[in-house]
Amino acid sequence: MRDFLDVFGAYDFLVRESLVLLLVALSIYLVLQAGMFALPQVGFMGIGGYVAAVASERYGVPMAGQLVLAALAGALAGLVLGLLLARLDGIYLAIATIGFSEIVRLTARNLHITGGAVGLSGLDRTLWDALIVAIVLLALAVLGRLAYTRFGLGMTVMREDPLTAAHQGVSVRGYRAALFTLSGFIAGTAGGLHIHLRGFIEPSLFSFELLTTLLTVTVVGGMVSVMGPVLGGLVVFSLPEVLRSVDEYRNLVNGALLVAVLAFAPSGLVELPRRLFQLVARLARRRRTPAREALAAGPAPAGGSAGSVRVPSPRPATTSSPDPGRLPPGSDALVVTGLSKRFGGLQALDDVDLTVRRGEVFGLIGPNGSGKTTLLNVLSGVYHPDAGRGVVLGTPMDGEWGRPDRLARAGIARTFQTIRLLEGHTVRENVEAGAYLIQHSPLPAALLGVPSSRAERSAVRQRVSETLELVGLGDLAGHEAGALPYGLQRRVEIARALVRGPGLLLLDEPTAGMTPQERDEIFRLVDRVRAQDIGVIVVEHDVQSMTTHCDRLAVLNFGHVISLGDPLSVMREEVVVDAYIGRRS
Amino acid sequence: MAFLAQQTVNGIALGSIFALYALGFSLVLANLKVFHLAHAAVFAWGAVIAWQLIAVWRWPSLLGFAVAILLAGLLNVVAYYLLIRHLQRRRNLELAAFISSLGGLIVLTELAVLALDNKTVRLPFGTVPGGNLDIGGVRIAAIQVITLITAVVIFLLLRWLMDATELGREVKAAAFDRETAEMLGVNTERISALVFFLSGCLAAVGAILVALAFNVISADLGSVYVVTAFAVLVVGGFGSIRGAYAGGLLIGIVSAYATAYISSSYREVIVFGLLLAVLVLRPTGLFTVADAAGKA
Amino acid sequence: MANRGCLALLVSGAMVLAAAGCGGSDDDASPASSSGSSGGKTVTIGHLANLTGAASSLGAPYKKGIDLALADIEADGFLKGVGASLQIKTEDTGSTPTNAVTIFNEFERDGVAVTVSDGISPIALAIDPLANESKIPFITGAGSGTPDDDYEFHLSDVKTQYDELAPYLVSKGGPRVAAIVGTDNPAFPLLTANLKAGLEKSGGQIVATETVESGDTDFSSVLTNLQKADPDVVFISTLADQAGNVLAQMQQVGGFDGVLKTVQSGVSRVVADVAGAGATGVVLRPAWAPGAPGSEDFVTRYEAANSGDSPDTNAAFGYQSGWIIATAVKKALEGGGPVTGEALRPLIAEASTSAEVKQHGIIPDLVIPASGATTWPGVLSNFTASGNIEAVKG
Repeated sequence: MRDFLDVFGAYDFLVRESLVLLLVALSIYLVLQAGMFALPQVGFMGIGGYVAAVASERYGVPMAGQLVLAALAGALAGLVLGLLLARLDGIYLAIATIGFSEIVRLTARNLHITGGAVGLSGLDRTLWDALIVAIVLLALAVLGRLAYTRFGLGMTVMREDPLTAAHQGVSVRGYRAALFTLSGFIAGTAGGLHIHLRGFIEPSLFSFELLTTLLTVTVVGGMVSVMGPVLGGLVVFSLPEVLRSVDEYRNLVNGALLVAVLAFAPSGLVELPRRLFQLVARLARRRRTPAREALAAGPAPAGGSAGSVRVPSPRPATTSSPDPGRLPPGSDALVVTGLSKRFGGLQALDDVDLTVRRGEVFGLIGPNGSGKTTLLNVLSGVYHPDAGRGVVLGTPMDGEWGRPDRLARAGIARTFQTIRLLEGHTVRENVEAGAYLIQHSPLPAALLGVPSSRAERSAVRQRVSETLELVGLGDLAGHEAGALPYGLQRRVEIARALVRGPGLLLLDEPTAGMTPQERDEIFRLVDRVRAQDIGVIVVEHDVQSMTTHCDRLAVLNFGHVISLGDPLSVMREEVVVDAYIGRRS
Repeated sequence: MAFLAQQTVNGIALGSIFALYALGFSLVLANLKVFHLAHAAVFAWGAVIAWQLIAVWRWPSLLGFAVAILLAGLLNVVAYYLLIRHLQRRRNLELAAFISSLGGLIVLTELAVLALDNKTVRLPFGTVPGGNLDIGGVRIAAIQVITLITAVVIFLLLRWLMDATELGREVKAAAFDRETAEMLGVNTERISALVFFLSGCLAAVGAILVALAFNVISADLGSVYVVTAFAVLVVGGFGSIRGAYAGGLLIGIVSAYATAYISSSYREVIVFGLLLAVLVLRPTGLFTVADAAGKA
Repeated sequence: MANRGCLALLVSGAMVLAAAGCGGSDDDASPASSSGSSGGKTVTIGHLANLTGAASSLGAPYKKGIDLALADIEADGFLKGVGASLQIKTEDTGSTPTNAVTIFNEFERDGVAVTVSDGISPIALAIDPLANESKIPFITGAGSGTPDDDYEFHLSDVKTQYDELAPYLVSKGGPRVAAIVGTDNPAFPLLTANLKAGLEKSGGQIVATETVESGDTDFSSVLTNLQKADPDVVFISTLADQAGNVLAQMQQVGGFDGVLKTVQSGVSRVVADVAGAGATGVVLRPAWAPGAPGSEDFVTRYEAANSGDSPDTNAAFGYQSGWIIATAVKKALEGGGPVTGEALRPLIAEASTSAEVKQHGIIPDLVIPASGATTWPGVLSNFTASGNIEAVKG
């Protein structure tokens, strides 16, 4: 139990150190796979290591206590840093976090308590191999399992499309703080373990060079799966030993590997088996008969009449479509007053007032550039209005402007002008992303898979299936979303918005680019949505469909509501006709 | 007072070099929104080529410098094609390009190590003009004068290029919105290659100045200054020529004062502290008004 | 997805184990190994050589020195009487502690009797616990004391050399000494502290201390600070390239012409390669330098074996190590015992002061005690106009 890694002979130290560095690589992976370009982990490792070393030297804390302190110190540093840098993104975040690691190194080098440039030595080296291996396995298990929970899905969406993630209720800021903290916890533990491997600690270890090595491990291995860093570690750490005879070229190989992986296998080496599998599957598929192949290729593009797979027809609506023009009963879904938004010299929204009821289809039309999409963007939290107040489903919006995740929590859901789906994932997974907010199992319960968490997952699966039936995609749940035709993709997006039962649904040009037949189908879907007492705001250009299907209509021009009310009367108003044709100069 | 003046001069000379170095990163960052780490290796190679030409093959100094500058520019263009160009359509361009460029940095640095046989070399004695200027008790070394003048000349040249020429307009258009610029007929790929070329030439100028002023040419010449370049860019504002200069000078002076009045070992802590403070409080940089490059 | 990842993991794991089993060890047995010694015992020295990386300016000459020692031992027939021969395995650490540890483990597995390295402290720190655990003596050029029962022996004298140098500095230069100290390597602040102690005994004092990092290249601010302190002597405690750079910039900036300059004793002629004329006259007190009494023969042989390269103090350390080990081995075998690490341990100290080493070794009066710090008086030297380090005449 203590020294079983001695089986590696001369490489025992290398193996032990690789395992500990793997932990730090995992802490990098954790942050990068959620789409955050942050690299403070070497700094966390340094903090953990020094806290453990000082605790050991100065205060005689036993090893177990040191490790706990190291982990907590790393976690605290992560939390503080995550909060401090909450507003940074992209390269700024990367630079700030690299700068943080450098500050840790330099501070350690200058403080007396950390031993200055000399560091602290003579530390206890009785570290059990079983402990190292156990900690690594635990980290792998937790991070691996995380990917299967809603948190894992949330992070995947964050990585691929942060805006969509926010609209499903994923709080990017919250995740930033949480992931930084967890990353710090893991890296801090690694720091504590590391000092007991070597028996000493000195600041030059925690350098930019270490970061680049570990980043290579994470990237070469791959960021899509927790096995990525493991594979990367195997490759990067064992390479110098395997290539001993060409030792001078070791760095060269590392660097070239990095460039090559990014160019040819951007998801990392861990993706290669899957790619190989797909290649084989594709080759095997070529042997099938043409008819089978047509079937396997999926439903024909929308509008094609000879499609070999029929798009399943939707379940009949439980209530018939209401009489247009009659205001349906229901409480207010949305009340906004005085909404204004300016972009530089352009007044995009100008003192907009509107009310939308539950179970009502409210149409928004107007010439190009009139502010329709801007209005939806303000309502869903993409933009912060300059002025205006609002209440949505009983929740005041005043503290929530500009926060899509908060507004999603209040009950708003939307689709976008350009379809925003996770292309490489199935229809089911995409819709499940929308169910983020209706799951409440806390993280530990989700990780352990306790009965209540499993029951919740089951309920979500059921709900996803029901929603897919509602939009008419029940048979396509396992299909890759990116492979579907445009019309069906739009339905997936709507399903995603509906799955959590919002009170207000915003649809931004849902039928753009569709045939009249498809458009009708979408509006019939909107009717079914209305029947569930959901308020719907639709932005569209096709005036005909809008007058037919909407209960009320508002017309925007230059950011201003120029007419609002019963569709037929609105369309007859002179000011509306003028706006479209432009008679007034 | 003379002490303060002397340290200020030291700071300005040092800062000019920081500015030239950061400027290379800044041009590429503005044009492609990419942090081209391998620029640090191109910097080192600029000095290595100059050494090879002047010290080993005994070319006349000025010719050697000119050729080294051109070759470094070409090297950077090659780096663009091998490391960056194929990533441009990707969603996570910033991260992917950073890492790809990091790989390039590692490879190029190793090649430099092999070229120099892992030694530190210097330009032949006598390439550096000796002598000092003495102004009121403040001693300015000849090389410091050369550095200052070169930095100013380059600044003016770049400003002229960007503001007064058609090429400059195209570069600015491509930096602002690549797709629109393409639609307007700007050949954005050619522009990018050109920006990389310019950036590489700048790197070589800086490296030659470093080789002359600090007597070292080593494979990791550029890596030593990378993290300082971060600080310059953050403080001065990304993507701005004026910002890079102002940031460079500020960091140079802060470094000099930190060494003078506190201690050399705290110099870097102070510079990084400044970097973090600016990032948290005013991420667009101290010297930019409109943030052209923007946050991600 | 997880399944495929696991598969990849297993396959790669198998590959690594196979590679580990085969081992990629690059054997480099020196020509001094005696293949012709019939029935003789071959004792192996493991050399953790810093041939590349930050410490290569120390490691390369050390290797040449110890290789020459082994050649001389062979030529002299020193161990023929006890029926043994000495061979050396050399591996490049790249100046990194992790590699050094792996190499040490390999040496242990290969059954070396003793290990050596030149003087870089981070590696000495890393190897110390391992040497003690595996009971294999480790002779390093780095400096600090050797506690009782410790298997690590340091060749550098960090205390007394400055006791000798300090009075010279004060008398030749003046009492005001400024120090430039590298902060990345623990040795340099230590050396500076010892100089300070030495100065205090000679009426001198440190009037200014400037710290620099190993990557620093611009010293203008540091030099301005020094000028303000108006020193008589400047002590540069950094690695050779950086010291050379400081000297070159001192010359460029001017104002240091009357100041006596001195560098820490572990440097090589790289200082002069970098500083050119700026290094001429710079003083140091290494354990040995060409021009030290009795060294001409060694210098000639060394230059002949190494294409004209001149030996320096690191080469001398290597050479001395070789002879100390050979003497310890001889004593072990004369005592009838086996040549193990445990047996050699007490003999190393004994060997350092033995008649054999006095005769064959090159560093005058190098004494490794059984415990405590190594001492040697050192040879007052300076850099000549040709850039070599040579003993000061007279």
